[in-house]
Amino acid sequence: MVLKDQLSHIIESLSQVGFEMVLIGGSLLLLLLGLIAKRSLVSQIVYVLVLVLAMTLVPLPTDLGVWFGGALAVQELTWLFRLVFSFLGVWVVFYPTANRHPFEYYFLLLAVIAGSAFMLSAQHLLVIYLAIELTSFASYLLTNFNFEKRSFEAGIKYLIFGGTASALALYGASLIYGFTGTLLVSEMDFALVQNPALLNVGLLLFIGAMLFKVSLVPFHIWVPTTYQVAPTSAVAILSVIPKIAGFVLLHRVLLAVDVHTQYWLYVVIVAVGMATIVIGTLGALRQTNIKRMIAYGAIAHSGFLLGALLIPGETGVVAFAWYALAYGIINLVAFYMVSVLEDRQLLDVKDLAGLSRTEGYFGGLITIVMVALIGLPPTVGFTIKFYLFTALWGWYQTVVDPWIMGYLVVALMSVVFSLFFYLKVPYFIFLKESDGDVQSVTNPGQRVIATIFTLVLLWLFISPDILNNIADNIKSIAW
Amino acid sequence: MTNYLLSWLIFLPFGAALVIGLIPDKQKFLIKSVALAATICQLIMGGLLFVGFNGGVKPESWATAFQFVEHLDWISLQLGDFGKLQVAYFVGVDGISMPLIVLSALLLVIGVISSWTVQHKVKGYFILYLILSGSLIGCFAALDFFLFYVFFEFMLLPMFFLIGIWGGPRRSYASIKFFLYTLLGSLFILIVMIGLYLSVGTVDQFGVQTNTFSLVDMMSGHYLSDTVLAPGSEYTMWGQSLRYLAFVFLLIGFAIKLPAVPFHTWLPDAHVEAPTAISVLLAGVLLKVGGYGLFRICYAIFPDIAITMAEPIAILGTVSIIYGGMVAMAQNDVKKLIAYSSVSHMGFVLLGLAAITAEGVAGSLFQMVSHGFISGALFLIVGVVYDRTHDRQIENLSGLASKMPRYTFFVVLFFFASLGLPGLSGFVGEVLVLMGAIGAESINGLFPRWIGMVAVLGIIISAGYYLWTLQRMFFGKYWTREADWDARMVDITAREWVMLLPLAILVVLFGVFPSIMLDPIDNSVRFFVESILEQGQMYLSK
Repeated sequence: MVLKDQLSHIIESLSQVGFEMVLIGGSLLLLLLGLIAKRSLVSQIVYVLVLVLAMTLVPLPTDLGVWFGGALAVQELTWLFRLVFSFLGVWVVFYPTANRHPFEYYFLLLAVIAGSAFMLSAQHLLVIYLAIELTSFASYLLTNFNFEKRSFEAGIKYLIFGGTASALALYGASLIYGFTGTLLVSEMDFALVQNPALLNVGLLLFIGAMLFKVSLVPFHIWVPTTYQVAPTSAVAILSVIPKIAGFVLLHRVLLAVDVHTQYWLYVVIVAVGMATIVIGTLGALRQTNIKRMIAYGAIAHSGFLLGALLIPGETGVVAFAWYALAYGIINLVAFYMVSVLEDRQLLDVKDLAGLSRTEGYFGGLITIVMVALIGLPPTVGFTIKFYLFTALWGWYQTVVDPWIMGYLVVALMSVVFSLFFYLKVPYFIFLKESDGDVQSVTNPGQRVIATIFTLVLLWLFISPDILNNIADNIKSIAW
Repeated sequence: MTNYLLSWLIFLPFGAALVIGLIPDKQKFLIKSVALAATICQLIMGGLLFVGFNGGVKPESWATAFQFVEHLDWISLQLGDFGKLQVAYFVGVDGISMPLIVLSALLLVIGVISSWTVQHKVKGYFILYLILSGSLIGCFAALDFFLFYVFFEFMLLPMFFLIGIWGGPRRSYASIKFFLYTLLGSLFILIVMIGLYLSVGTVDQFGVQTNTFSLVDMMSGHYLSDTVLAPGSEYTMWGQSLRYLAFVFLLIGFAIKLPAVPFHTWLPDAHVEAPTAISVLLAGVLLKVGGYGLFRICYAIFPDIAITMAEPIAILGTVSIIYGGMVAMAQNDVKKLIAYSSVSHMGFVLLGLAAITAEGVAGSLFQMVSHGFISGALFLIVGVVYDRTHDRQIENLSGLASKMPRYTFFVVLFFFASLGLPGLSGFVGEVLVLMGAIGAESINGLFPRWIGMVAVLGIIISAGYYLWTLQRMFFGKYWTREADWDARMVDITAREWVMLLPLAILVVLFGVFPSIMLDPIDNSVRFFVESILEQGQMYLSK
């Protein structure tokens, strides 16, 4: 009888992970198709179809709960980001990146998305570990996908850092299990444990693995090199999807630990976030390679995302969800522009000098994207930063904690500095003159796609209703 | 039409920019004509605004102080535990913003005429110019803080490119410096805006709290209880009350834009590198956004701090007047000289405002408008020399009066207007400001007389550098450094007449009949002064 119950629970649970199962099945199908099909178009079509099919299988936000005996908790954020991941993933096929093994490439991308999707709901220490590893292994391979000497170096570096982080996380998980006696994050009671010093060590090690995924200081060192050498369309995915998933996971763990009662951990998190913003911003100042610059910018954005999670309650979650969504879109657009430039070997800002002579319109679009990355009106970049600042200030008003005010000030200052480096791109395009001839870069199709992408950034600023709908759906989250 | 006059003023240029975007690059004349037509329409609407503005009634509260009001809900975002984030498209004018809008509309037309010689990337230039012009008017008309801030930021990017692409040799340095300074200032404003938003609002009978960005509510003091920026709140940081810090942040933010010493160093660089038309706009209108922000936001929302800080602000203004003047005297580049004289003259705006007397505030506003005419004209004058010689050094030219008499006439007129010759507009503004500043001790006792008296020295200093420049460049024996300049030294052309003559007429008209401007704004100014003093005392006693 018990067995029958368990079986029916598992069968019922399976219906809740249709999204992930389609992604995994689809990725394997791609791998098999690669053996028989020759044209890369097939791989793109299958990839898109898999994502669209997966999207239709996402359970509604009314249909949430805990499955597989507590191993997976399907929550509002899970619902939201499953949709967002599959939606963002689709656009990658428009990137003009040529690659030699399209089937394997899209197989790996689907694996990254599937791993990240598991991270959205995992709350069993081993499932968490497996989800992180699935994402990581696919990411290591994707880093190498340009098959250059440089990219092998970066891939190995990434692999060694990642391997170390996950080994430590595993050790941390065993410590946590030893002290709390359970593998389910939701059942852990940190307040009951008598001597928490070693438990705290375990906790820090375990959280470290997530910090690695979301590229927070001091686990950010792999980011610039990896982003620089990996294929741009893979970077567009890697810089967004595993990062958001990592934050959702981090959020779940921090909630379980009840970070607001563990003040030392709270201060550690705040300090990590501030350091991330500072180091990301300062690091970007010196860069002349656009991909590297955006990579450092992405590190700083991680600090902003973490800031949203410092605010408890609905406000913080909404701020996080919006920031993550808008950041995902902006990054996708930014890397699209980069991939178009990269296609013509224009990757250093100096190469862009005088580009406005042939590409005035495209240069204008790039300017809007940079403005969105800085966070100025009239783009959605401003809306989310503004909302985050308001939420932080409101939280400061509630607790009067100088750490929060410090966070706000650091974040604001970072906006000024980020102006300096993001503006380098339009600066070289429009203000510098080149010595030689300037080639045209884009074809009409690319200009149309870039226009659509850019209009989305403006449209979300002028009419942010869609953000409200999202907020309505995640409001009911349990705290 | 008059119902939506302000919206037309704001969005017509944006529409025109779109139209220009569709015109092929080669049709330079068409592009310029569209820009000119759009700005002329703006000027006509500015005229309608001036005529339609009713200055005859003294407002009783901030809620009734505005005319041509338009209100539309725009952005509405759920803000979790803090209710809803409501942003409205809320515009309107009172006697403080109306003259500035009319001034902008006028200078924008002159700017287009002055830009007629642009040959390089014409399309981009006028698109950016029109975006800038719409945002400028929007900034003056906005009655919603968020809207104001969006327009305020929206001016930066066009300005950055206008200086950076069409500017002089060191344009990239100047444009980045301009952008960084102003963005830094605007972040100070942003942080106060968020604080104010969380502190101001209404609570209905069911206890539902609605926060608001409406500047009218902020000026009327509809604070929610127990919020950080409510008067009498006990929140402090670094040992200062948050209200005090918020005021200082706003003061820094707008003082960068104004600019007041010591935040002025971006201005000379930006002016020297900017093309003539952009210099005209920068000095004539953009600086006034800083002044306007002080009036509308800094002073009207934080009257209590404005009263307690009156003396330091007055001293800051006086230091700007004297220091700007002294530095101007040491310049060899005429454009830099005028840039520093702008710093000096904008000091009067700060001084007059600090006094919070009817004369001071009216003078401060008058000074902004008159400085708009004069500095615009002065930069056009420099443009005349620069177009012919591509040089602006004072020592490279002399005796221009004999070669270019009509040009010299305008130069003398505007120099004298700027140094405050009675009968010209500069005199009225400065004299009113000084009356206000010197009289403040006996009227409201905000700061001692000597501050105003020291400021009088500024007029003498400006007389010094203007007369000295006249003597060196225009009088004496005709001489140019390079022989081939000689052929190009022709007297002003028809296009230059069209630009300079209206400004000359206005400078004389406003000098002789200052009541053209002072009468319509009189009631608004009186209300502004009274409400600041009354509200300030009320907040202070909390």
